[in-house]
Amino acid sequence: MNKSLFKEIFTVNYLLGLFSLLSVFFYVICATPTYGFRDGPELAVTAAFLDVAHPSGFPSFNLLAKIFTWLPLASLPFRVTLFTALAGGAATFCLGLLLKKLHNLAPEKPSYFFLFLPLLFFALHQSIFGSSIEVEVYSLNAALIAVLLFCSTLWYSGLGVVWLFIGGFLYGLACGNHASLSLYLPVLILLTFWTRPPDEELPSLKVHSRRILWLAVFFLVGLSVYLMLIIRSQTDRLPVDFSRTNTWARFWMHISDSKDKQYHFQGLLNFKELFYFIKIHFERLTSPLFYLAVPFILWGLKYLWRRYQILSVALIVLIGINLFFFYYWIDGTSAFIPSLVCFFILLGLGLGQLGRSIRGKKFLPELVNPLAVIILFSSAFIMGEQRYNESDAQSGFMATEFFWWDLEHLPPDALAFHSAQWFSELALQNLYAVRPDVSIVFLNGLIQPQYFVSPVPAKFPNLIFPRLPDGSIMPAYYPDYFTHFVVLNMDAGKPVYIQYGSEMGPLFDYMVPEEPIRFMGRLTKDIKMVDKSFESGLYPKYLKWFRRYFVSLSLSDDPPLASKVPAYLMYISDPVFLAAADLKYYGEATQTVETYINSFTRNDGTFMFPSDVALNLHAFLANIFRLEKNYPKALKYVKKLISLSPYNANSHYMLGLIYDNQKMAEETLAAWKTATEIDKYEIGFFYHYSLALAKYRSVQEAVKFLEERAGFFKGEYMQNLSALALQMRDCFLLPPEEIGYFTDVELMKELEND
Amino acid sequence: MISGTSRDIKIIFFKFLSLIIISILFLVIFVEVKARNELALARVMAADPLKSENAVRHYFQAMNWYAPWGASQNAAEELAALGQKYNQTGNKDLAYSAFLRLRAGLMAARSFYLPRRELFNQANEFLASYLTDRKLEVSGNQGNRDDLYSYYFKVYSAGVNFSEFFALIVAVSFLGWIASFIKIIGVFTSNKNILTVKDRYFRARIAICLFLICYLAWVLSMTAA
Repeated sequence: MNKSLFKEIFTVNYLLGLFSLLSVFFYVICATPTYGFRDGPELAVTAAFLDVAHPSGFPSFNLLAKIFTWLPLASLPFRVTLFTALAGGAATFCLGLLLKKLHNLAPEKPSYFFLFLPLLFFALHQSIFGSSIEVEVYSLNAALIAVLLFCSTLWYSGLGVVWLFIGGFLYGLACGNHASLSLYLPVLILLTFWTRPPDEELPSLKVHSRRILWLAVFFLVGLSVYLMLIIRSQTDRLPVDFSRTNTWARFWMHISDSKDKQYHFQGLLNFKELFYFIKIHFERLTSPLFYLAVPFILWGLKYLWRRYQILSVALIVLIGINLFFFYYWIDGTSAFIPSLVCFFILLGLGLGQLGRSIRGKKFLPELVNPLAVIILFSSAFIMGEQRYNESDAQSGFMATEFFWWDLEHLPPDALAFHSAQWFSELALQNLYAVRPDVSIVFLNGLIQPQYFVSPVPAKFPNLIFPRLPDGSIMPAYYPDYFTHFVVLNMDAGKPVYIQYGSEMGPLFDYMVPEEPIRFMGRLTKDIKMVDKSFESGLYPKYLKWFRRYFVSLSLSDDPPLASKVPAYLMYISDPVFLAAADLKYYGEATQTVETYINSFTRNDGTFMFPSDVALNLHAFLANIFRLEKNYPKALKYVKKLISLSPYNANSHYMLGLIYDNQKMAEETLAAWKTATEIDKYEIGFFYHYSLALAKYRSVQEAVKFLEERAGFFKGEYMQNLSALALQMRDCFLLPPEEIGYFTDVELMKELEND
Repeated sequence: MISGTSRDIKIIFFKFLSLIIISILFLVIFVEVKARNELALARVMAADPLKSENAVRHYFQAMNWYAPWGASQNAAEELAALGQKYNQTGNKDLAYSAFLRLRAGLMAARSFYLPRRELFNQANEFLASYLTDRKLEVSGNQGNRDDLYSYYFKVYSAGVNFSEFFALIVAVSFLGWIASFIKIIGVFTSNKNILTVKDRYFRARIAICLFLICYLAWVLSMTAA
């Protein structure tokens, strides 16, 4: 190969490509062999079936990841992980291109060594790395943010307005990957209104308006990727039942994540807490080099301020919006990837300035120098190996095995209810098709039909659905629908199996009207348990083993074990505790959870496990002590729960439940009123508050409350009112058109008997 | 003699192609190495009668590192043989576990095709028989065995209710409308001093047609997939 061609091949862009590819190799090597936890199995299924994922649906991700599911290598979930790994590599590549372009804004270029150094840290940063080794949308998010900023910089560099418009179009598609990107619209507006390439004259108002109009059109064309949710929701066959976005109300609720909005806007209610969390986020995002990185970030900001002022402002606005919107997710650093990209842009520019200032010293090699290449790539290998050792790749396998056991041992034709955390089972059923004879029904679709999808005969032809006296299918919001559904299918000879646990733990379970849950409690005692450990009475021993294991982990000198709770344990232990409670091993269960908390609490009072697990555990303890009628201890844990998350409606609901059990009228009403004020969409809170009003004050006051606060959907309102009517044994509380349902004598008797 | 531009395009193409080839080679080697490791573990476990359950798990893991040739194929064949052996020696539960994982491994390896259809059918035959026996046992021998067997065989033999063909159209048309729309933006925003609007429409007509066709195909195929 001649010398010029060699130089041509080893241009910076090509090295950048190779470097990014190297990061992809690391991601693939460390990738979880199956599909990880929580969103992982769900997104693997939605990609494979072009389905509607949890809010905000992620249509761009699913459409692009689908292409990888046809690769005739490895298994279906791993193929989707390959896509996320590739997106992680693309993020590094795009960030490199952007940094290179921004470095070029100054007359003197730094050594390219300083271009690759921040990229090395970026590619192997915990958040990017973690999002690239399992099925997640965040690595694609990082790549898209870098691309958008790159397009803006190309426009600013005078390469034509085409880049602004392409950026606008890609921004629409990026919002289709994660709707939270739409929150950064002010950034786009800033870059569009106040950016002007150096050689461009001040545009006239007419030109400016036309430009904005076209930009909006291109953005909307990109955003039309959300049509996928609407169109795919028309079919009844989709495996994931998070939502069918086939009405405007449901579509809007889904993409705006109304169900969980309380988590996003707590900052509006408590500024003091917001700033405290922002400080922690800054530290965690830049960890472990926070104090070392800060001077370079500021140096980079100064550089950008002088050369591309609007971009520097835009980056700060972007960081601010990101931290404000997601600040509740203090441990979920993947939500802060937009901020992370901005930090690394500034860090890279700061390091570039360092490179400029020492360029004359001649002791630092140029990238074309083989020594520098060797140093960089060796560092990548060393850091990659460290990440590999830290990664918990086998945990995915263990979690799969845990869920596999259940599915394998279910009796023929069983009806198995699963809840949000059990997407793993859903993935086993749809990607691996483990037990086609078993019907897996999403429990939340039955007890929270306003948010989730209720089962329909077209999807479950083997199941029997409750019907109204006129023969039509009973709406899922009907009182005791769940009871009817289960009883009908049990009578038809179907073994019923209910999974323990859900996304929000025990608090979530007890949030729904109590009757179905009580029914569930009865049911779990009646049905034959499939887990052999239940049958053989090994459960207390199982819990004892857990306690020993937690303590041994906390005492371990081995840094990887002592510094973090293994991921699979966090998610497996939650349902184990729930099962223990349901089997009435209250003492064993609370003792195990308290050991768990004590073992993994740092000296400064913070937890080693994520904040949502902390909430689950405290809610669990509060609830179990409540069931044991140990109210002082229940109150202790619920108050801790409220201090951990003051604006979480569930915590106030639990507080009210404890007071209600003690017949403390005013305290109950106050706590439940707070819950309904924090979360205006949760049917369970309305139900309980209205019941308490009827019980402690008057039925008229309860009805008035429900009428004034009629819910988001008619069904929600009707369910509350119907439930109240049933509880009060007064069907005339219902509007005349609904009374017809209750005039059927047999149905009424059936309801009374329940 | 080649012009500078065409030489540049060739170099870019060469670089791009080399990266793709390197990536695919890496992936193939990685998947094969993983499959071989799991297969080796499975064979060790299979030799020990006390570790039969783990042997089944490791064969399944080896199958999860599917490639159209090599260790994953051997794992599938050996798992089928193991299941058959357990069945013949009367260990029905282990045979059930082996055939369930064999079937699941093949299903998870599906693409536009389902690999090793003969092993898939073999697994279905056993599973239908096993579930029929279990059902009869649970229901106290109520029901006709042949009917039940036919029912379970039909349920297990049925494919996934999803059209990969239409999904392919969805994916291709999705990429198509993105690419053609970027082309449209490019045509309408470049050389603004040279081209009239009419010229631009003329130049972009193929891209506009492609965009409309792809968008329509995308929408329609999503309803059918």
